[in-house]
Amino acid sequence: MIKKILLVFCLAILIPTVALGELDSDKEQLFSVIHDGRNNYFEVDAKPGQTLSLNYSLENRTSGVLTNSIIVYDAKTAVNGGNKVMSPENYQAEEIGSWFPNNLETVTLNKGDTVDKFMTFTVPTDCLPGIYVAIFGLYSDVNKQPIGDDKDISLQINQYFSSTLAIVIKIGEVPHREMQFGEDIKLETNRQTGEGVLYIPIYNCGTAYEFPTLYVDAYNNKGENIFSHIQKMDIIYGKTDTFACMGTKDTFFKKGYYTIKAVLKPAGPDLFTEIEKEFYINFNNEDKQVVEKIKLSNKASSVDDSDGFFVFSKNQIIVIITITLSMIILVSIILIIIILKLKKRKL
Amino acid sequence: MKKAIKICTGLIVCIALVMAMSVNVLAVEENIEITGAANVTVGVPASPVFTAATHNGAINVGTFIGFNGSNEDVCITDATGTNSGWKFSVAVTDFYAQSIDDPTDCGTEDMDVFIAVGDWLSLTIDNSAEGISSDDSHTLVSGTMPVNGAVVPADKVLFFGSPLPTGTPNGSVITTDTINVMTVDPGYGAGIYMFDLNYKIMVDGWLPNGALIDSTASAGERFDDMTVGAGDMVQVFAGVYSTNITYSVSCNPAS
Repeated sequence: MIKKILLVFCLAILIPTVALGELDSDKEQLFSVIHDGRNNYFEVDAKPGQTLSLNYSLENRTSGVLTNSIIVYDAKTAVNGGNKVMSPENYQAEEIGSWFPNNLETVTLNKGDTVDKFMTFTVPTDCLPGIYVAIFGLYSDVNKQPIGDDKDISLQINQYFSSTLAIVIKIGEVPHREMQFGEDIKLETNRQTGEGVLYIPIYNCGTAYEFPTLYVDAYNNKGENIFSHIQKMDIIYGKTDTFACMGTKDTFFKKGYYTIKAVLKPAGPDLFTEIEKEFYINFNNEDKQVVEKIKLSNKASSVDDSDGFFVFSKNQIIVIITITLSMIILVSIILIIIILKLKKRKL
Repeated sequence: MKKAIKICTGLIVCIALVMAMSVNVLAVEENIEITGAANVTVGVPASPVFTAATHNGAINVGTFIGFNGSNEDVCITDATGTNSGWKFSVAVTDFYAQSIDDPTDCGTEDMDVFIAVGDWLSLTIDNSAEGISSDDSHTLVSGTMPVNGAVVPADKVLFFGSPLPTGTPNGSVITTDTINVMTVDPGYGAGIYMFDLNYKIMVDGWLPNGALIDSTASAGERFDDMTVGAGDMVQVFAGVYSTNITYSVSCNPAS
């Protein structure tokens, strides 16, 4: 029986390896990373002050020698949520990336070679509960492409390749999840296409990352729906402001008042509670070029200020109910004992 | 009375134990099973997006140069075994030219010029037979490799459609702007997908608004930390303008 189990286990490991061997390896510029996480990114529980290691293997599946740089950097580097792709020359390791002391390394592997690696990190002792994210990145060598001759004006396009994996570190047990809309919406003109671009401000005031879906509907002063848009948002880290931006073509390039209703829904169950807000914009300029970069936020006003609120998780509710019931029972028993004692004394 | 106190103490201890057990149960629920996963990789065939061999002539100002994709410009391989989706992004630096002679100081010192990459270069994903469907629905179509991926419905693919940045350069040879190109929802995107990336280059005869000219030797002169504004009319300086483009594929909880 044990032999059969071992045989099935070995086959299960071999099947994906065989499949990957059939790929056209010349197309790849990066090592393959095999790590011990259950997702396609690293995920680990940790406590303040704790030092942990993440194990992984690098494999060169190409037909030649390959050199990649390994970098670990801060996830919160993009202006509008998500991750900014960083290189060994400009990576930032000032926040979560700084938990990893060895956050820059170069590795060269021959064709078919594999190397086992690990990276160690230490959580600061004063770290508050929440979900923290760093980025593990592989970065390829440059592929330089000159365009034009070397007289007068010529261009050189240097091409690199990168693959990144999030390192999700969970500190504490129940993260606080809450999202809000900001006050200022703005409308700009895309310089390349000439169409209007609407920006909806969003704030993740919780301690976990979110990747919600935004539903936007716009109505003119007659109450007619003139614009609808559904947008899946990129990752928004805890305590981070961002904007959802969307092309609106010529929808708002007409004089008038518009009501924009925005609804933000979580991407999965048991996350933050859906929030909704209405914005007003008063558009009074039909010249697309003049309106460029003019913020309409000074014309915006909030209708619903009760955006978002703290939501207890199931586990928190169980603990609260347990404590409440225990206290009620305890107080009841003490009262009964006191009443019985008093009755005895009267008797 | 002593008996009552004993009973109360016993009850408090019981309640404390129950609470401690509850907390312990919560901790156990947060534990993670550890298995194994590979990552996604991104690469190109032998001929990269920009083919110098076919575009080695002079760049004529005001004339478009087009680089049309060939179905295999970018190849994304998802061999994670998790079907968790992925995100494809492009990170770009400014176009920058260094060591350009500063004409305001008798030709003894150099200066740097930075131009927002989107002012000269535009990027589109080609609607091709492979990579993305040609009906503008942005359905993701698998490649033709032996181990290819399945068709991904359009509603499971998020196209950010962000253009390359224009107007205000970063003024740095290493600072990048990241442009998210597409995200495939969890549950989709396993296998191999190839895309055409079409580029169009257009160099105007005048430096675009927002371009930065930095000459430390030109203190107080025209090109001392100059930002080109409307009506400044500065001709594009002859020289080699470089940009770094990084094609990146990411695995994270939101991808």
